[in-house]
Amino acid sequence: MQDIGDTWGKFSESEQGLAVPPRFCLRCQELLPWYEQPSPQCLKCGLQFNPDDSSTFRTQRQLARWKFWFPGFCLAVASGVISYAVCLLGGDMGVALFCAVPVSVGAILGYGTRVQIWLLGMLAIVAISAIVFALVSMNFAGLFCGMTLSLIFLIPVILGIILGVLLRVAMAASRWDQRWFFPLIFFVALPYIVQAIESSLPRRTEIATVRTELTVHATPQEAWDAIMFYEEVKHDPPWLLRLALPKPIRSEGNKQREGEIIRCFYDRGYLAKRISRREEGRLLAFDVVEQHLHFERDVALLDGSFEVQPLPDGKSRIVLITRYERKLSPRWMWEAIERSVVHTLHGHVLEGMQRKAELRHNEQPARDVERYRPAPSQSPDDRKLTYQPFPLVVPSVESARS
Amino acid sequence: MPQANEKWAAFLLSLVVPGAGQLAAGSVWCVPWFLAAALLAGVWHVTGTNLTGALWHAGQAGLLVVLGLVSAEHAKRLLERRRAASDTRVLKSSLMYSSIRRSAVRLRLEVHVAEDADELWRRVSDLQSFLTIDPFHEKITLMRTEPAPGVHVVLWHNTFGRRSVRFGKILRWEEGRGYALSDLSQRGPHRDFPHVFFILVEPMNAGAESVNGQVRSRLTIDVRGKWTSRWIPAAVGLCWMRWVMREHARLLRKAL
Repeated sequence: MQDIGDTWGKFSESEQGLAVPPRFCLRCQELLPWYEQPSPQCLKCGLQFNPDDSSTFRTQRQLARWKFWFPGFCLAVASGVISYAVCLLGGDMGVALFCAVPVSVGAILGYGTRVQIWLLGMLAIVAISAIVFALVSMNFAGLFCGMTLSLIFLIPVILGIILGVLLRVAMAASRWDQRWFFPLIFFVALPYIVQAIESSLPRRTEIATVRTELTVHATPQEAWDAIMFYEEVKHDPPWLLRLALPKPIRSEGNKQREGEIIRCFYDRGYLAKRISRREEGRLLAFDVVEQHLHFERDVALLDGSFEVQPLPDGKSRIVLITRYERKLSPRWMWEAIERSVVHTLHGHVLEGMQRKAELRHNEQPARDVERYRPAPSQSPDDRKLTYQPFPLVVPSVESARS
Repeated sequence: MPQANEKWAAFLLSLVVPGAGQLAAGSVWCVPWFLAAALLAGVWHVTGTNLTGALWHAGQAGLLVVLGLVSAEHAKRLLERRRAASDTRVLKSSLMYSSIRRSAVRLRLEVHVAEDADELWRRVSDLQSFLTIDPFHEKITLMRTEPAPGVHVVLWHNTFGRRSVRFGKILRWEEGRGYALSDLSQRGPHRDFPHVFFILVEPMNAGAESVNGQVRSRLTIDVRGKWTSRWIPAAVGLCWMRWVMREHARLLRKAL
């Protein structure tokens, strides 16, 4: 609708022929009449003004844009940080933490802000970043957990925004004069309500088994001799493990006998494994008897095993199995991430074993013509072999020869 | 130099950092407050190594809140309008009556002043000066040059740093005696505690204005309004308004 001020001109000519700047009502911001009135007042709301006193009217309309988004945004971030911290400290890491908190954040944003859709999306991203940053800064989450959280929060936050926007549209037509507060109070309280319900329900224990296997060009004995734990792998772990797991430092203990305890030390704690079963050349199984790695509330490691299976043509298959108790829920949401981390861990250990086994396998000079050769600086008489660095993915002996 | 209407800014500053509001007010009182905050932090640092647990943290938080509140109130009072102690005319100011029935609220404040009623009226009728003694009124804009029945008034509020505008109208004006003024929300006459001030100036003991050798007059401020909030109980609202009126009485003692 066109402003009547635009039609008539903001600068109207008064009787003296001087330009009269536009004046706006203090209450409704409507353009005030420029012509003389017996009792000057706003034609829309009736508020009086004094043409000779500039404090009784506005000289320009004021629109505080930040009011449409800033309070709702601040409430969403503050509520998200506080409810996440409270739910984390007060109960299980479950639906309340990973679904109700982000849905609540999104719903507060959707209900408490009145901006365009694209800006709402931007606010959601900034809110998630702010919440994750605050949680990581306050040590409620590590860097990897924070990054994972950002991704996990995204969908529930969007769902919450849709819920909030729909409710706001529906409530706009309502005559309930407290409609501005009560839905917001409900959205703020939502994580705590879900947490209370979740804590009152019985929790089912779920054991997950992750199995990874790799075929190596080495005899079963060579593969058996190459068995090593994660802490003994020499090459650098992939970025996922560096982010997700504590950094291994060393391990102490003898895995040659059943019943022996192996202590594995990390930069943020330690793990104790007891050798539970050992069948020479075929199976090495262990139980995790102590776990102090700062992710005890996420997963509890139970046991694991290394199995070496002979294959034709002098090859072997190494099978790694890890069993753990799943503590994060909703489980369907975390399963892919957990499996990805454990498979990456297995892959890293298997790669270390493959390097060791194939190195030993190739130490026979007849096979090592291509891969190993005397160092250039050494004399031909010196037959000491020098190891050439492996590429990231270890090639098989055949591919190396070709 | 900070203005009196910046008292809430000083309040909030000191609430966050004890002493900061005093510093903003240009008072040397900031030094003891900064020292008190530093001392508290030092004591925590020393004793905190041996003490842990929820009670200790609750105690820490409680002490911090108390220190912040006391410092904030002190900073606010530094910026309040006041007359010299020897120049004060108010002998007594007190909340005489407060009640709430259903949603109808009524409160009455009486101030006994050691000056002639005409002199008191001269000051009370200066709306810009008198109405801004209220703890939350920051500025008054009269929409006509002279106050009269039917003249609109804009009441600029500042409540704990949150500024808002309310609109009213002079309902009654009796020169030399009193006036009535409405104070309504921008959102409408039935929202956010609509109320009316009745200001009355009268000589004490009509016909015999001298009490104990002092000429005395009485200023009565009657507030009648409607409690409109449905989610804050009326009893809580009444407690809040009593506190506001007592604060108003204190400010009148200092400023009149």
